Amino acid sequence: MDPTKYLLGYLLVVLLAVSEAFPMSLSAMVGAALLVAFGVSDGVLSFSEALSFIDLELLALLVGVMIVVEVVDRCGTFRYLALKVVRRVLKRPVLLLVVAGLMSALTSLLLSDEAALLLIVAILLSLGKAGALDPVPFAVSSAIMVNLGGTGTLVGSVPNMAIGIRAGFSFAEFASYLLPCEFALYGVTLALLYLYYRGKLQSSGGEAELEEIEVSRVDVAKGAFLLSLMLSLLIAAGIADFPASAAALASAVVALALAGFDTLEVFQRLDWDTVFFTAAFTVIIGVLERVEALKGLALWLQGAAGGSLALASLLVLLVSGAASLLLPNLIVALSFIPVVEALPFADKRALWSALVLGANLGGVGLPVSSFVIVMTIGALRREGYEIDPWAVTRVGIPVTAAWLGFSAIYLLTRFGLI
Amino acid sequence: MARMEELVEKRFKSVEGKYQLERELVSEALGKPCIILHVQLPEGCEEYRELFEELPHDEEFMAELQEFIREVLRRRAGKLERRENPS
Repeated sequence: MDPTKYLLGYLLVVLLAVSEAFPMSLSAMVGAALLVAFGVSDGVLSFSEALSFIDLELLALLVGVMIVVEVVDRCGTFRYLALKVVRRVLKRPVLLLVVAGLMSALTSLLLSDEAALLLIVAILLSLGKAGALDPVPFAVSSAIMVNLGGTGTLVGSVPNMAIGIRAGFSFAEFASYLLPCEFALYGVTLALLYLYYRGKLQSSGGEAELEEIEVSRVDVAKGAFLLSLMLSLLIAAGIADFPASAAALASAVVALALAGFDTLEVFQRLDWDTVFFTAAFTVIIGVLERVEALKGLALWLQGAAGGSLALASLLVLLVSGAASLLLPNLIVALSFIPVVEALPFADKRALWSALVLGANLGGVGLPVSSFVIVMTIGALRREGYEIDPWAVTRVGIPVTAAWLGFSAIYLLTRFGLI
Repeated sequence: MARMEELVEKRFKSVEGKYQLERELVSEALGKPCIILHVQLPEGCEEYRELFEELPHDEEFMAELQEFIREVLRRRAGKLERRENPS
């Protein structure tokens, strides 16, 4: 079976997704329809087989987590905590950089990148408008930290969910492999951001003394409870051997029932583009696997690694990291999953971890590939701050290089590959 | 470069509603409540549509609007006080 037309179909989807000519979900659905039509007409699969490529467990985990995150976001728990903490350090710019960075990363570890970024940037720009600080360095740093946050847990990002489920990692197992790396990278990144921005950090506190924070304590407590419930159930899922998706869906049901928000409104605010994109793209990857179209990349990696797990892990890290500089992280993760599966190593924990790090950490090098960076630039401009998108690469590229370099050392030591 | 500008604008537009909401929630939490107004382009101003759409991002206009709101609030508060304490 010549896989050329299947690969061309795949490339078309990637180009459409990158060009953002259409919503990502539509591009993937067009591609899935095309590839399934090729497969059916070539007699390599049936329509019902193509439907079975949709990873229902991944979608259940994704939707469950999205619902809990949306409810918790509405409860204002993170808003309350972030304001409380920022208030304490407002007059100390270096500390504010560290605190805003850590808040960004930790919030995105538990909420979505988008929700975390909107919250932190809204706080920083509110303070900027009140004359308390120049928000540009703090906001760009926070966007970079948001991109880093979420690397270390199964539910931290959609690529993590896809990789974690295919790798068969439980929530605790995933965290044990990747969370230490993420925490160490916080230090590395904050040090780099401080070095880059040290002359530009201005925060007077000025007249913007924050008044008493007015939020519903009941809602804040509800949000904290729901998040703890989801995390506990995800950990329990690994111990009692039931799927993480079941834990996420159970948490979602409790969240909807307990929080008292309009359920339909919560549903409306979910990121359906990502859900439909994930469903359609898993079909595309399923078809490519069926016609062995990705075997070439796996064979190349295998040949280049020459049977060394250490080298193979480093190659997966660097190739997926380079790819995620230019492509959306989810495309990179979903495309590399069958490649890692095809590599002939009995223990693939290092390879899966390398893929998580590569797919997550390439995102801030160039503004084109980083939704969070572009979103931050847009928000800054909307509030009247001028910022050149390409100037961000001056900090984004070194940070990405440092992340990938540190991750390489981490993988070699964590999995005893040297 | 123009493509990048377009990208920034397009991507931010896709989350602008959520951003504005977050900004309002933060302002409220800081003890500075916000109100959201939907103002239609006044009749007879159809040819100024572009200028009208730029107003929310115009700092001078926002300052004038705040001043106007301040006056309205003072006037209304005074009226209310006079009604409650006619003497």
